[in-house]
Amino acid sequence: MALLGKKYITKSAIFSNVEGYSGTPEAMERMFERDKTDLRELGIVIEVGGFDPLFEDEPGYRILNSDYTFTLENLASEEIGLLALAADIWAKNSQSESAKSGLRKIKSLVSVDEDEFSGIPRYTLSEQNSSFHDLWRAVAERIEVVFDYSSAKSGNQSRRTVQPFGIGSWHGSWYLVGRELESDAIKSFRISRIVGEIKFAKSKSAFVVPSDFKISDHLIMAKTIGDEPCVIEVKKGSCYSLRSMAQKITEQEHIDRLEISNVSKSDLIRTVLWSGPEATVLSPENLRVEIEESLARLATR
Amino acid sequence: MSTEKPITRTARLLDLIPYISSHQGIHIDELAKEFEVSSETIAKDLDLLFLCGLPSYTPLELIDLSYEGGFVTIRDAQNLNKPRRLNRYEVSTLLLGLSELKAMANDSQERLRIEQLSEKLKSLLENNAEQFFSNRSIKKDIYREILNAISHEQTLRIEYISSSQDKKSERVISPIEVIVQSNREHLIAFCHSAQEQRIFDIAGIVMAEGSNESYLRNQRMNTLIDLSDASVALTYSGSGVSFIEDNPDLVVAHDPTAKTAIMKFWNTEWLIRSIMSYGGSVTLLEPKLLINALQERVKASRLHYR
Repeated sequence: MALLGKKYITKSAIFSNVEGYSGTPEAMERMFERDKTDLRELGIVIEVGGFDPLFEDEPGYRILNSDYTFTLENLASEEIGLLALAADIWAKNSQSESAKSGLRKIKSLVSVDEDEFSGIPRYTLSEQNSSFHDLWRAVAERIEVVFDYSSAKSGNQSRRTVQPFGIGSWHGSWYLVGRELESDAIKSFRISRIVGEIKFAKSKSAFVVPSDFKISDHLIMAKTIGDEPCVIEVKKGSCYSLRSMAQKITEQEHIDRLEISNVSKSDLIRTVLWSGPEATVLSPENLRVEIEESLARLATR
Repeated sequence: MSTEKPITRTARLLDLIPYISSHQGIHIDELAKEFEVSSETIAKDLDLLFLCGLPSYTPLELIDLSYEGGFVTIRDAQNLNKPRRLNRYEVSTLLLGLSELKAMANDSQERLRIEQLSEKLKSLLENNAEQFFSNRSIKKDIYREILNAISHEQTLRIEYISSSQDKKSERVISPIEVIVQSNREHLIAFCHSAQEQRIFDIAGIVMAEGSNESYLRNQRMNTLIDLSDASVALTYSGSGVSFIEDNPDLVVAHDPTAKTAIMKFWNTEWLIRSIMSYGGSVTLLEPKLLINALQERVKASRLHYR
């Protein structure tokens, strides 16, 4: 704590003033080194320098305040509220230490109204998702991971070595996206298909997430249909899920015409098929064809 | 206390000061709860902090802290009143949380604010990559209304799009409990319109309005859901496996090698619509009656595409 001052402080002063330093000089030296490492884990870097005139020529140690303190400046109170909410989504989960400590730091910036986030859907992940936390840590700390993965296509299991780039959820299921070293390609993995434990690489590898990496580009189901609206005809008094996706609804005599854009393509196809004969895709042609082919597949079974 | 690592305590000491600074007059018991240690431990921490300060050790440079009657205030935190910087892990957690919030945002303006905040956080990681994604299809405000109604035991007026039938309805419900089923949040509620207990897929609630009307939970309502005994046999290919993965509560038996499964189902309409939505990657094997009903629907749909 004393090290947080503006002045440097000598090792001998630390040894004589800080509780717990005892034994031979060598032992104290080892303890000092250990403590420095521990402190680094707390985000504290000890700086060596500056000689205290009172202590001959012993080097001094201190922590640079700018390295130590919270560095997000100029946050509006509303933004602090949002950050507190973001942390709170995970904070109730017993494994999310980082969410708890992050939330505490944010609450330390300013007193946050607790009622503000009384109504946020929180995550409590089930047992089967315990690998989720390991992967999350691996993403945050950029640690290479190894796991056995059961492929949905072939049903076969194989070992994968992955540099984890990101994590995402789609309709409540979690996916890991990263570079698979075996194929040297960026792939997505459904976390529930991972078999057994996640193994971490021994040394923290220094891979870099490409700065143009965008996780949604690698989640096939998240691909959107773009700005060009799809035109879908629906019977009156039906197709409520499709209607809720529509940006524009034109009412006609017997049917209504929906215009839908910027939604996930796979979601749209599913919802059209779900709606059955009450919905018909008019354009674009490629979507119409996809629906037609899906129906043909359904008919031949 | 004896088993605690010194570093854990140091971290807590460092975090206590800014926390107290922004929560002046907080009670020791509350601090204990926040930091997940006993009140005795907090008291010992405060005793130690009282003796801490900056080098040169005149009383003027000690942290000035008092806790009378258990209420803690800091008058002079020296230069320790700012929280420690966020580590990579915490920044990632916040980014992941923000991506959830963005998915649940009430409007595009709020989405934009969240995006801007994410950019600020990303600058701490010195990487512009977008590493987190969520499409949680629940609206924040609706969820808040629901939790509010549960905690105040009040009724709600909702507009609901059913996930099993193609219907939109307006109902008055008394919410009981939020559960996660098949990876999605569901609400168990007493539906006054239907006069019985129902389960609602929260993503299907498109409007919720609280009322001041309270209801008495005079008896613990049964929160166990009876599924019918009806089941189907099916086979799948490719992405069809997610039908099994997304409905773990319905799986009676599953053979991943043969790619077959036996599953229970809520109601016939839900089953047929769901299987159609997979566009042929899930195929019914039994019973014949349902296969026929499905084929009827497929036939009717195909008429539009010729």
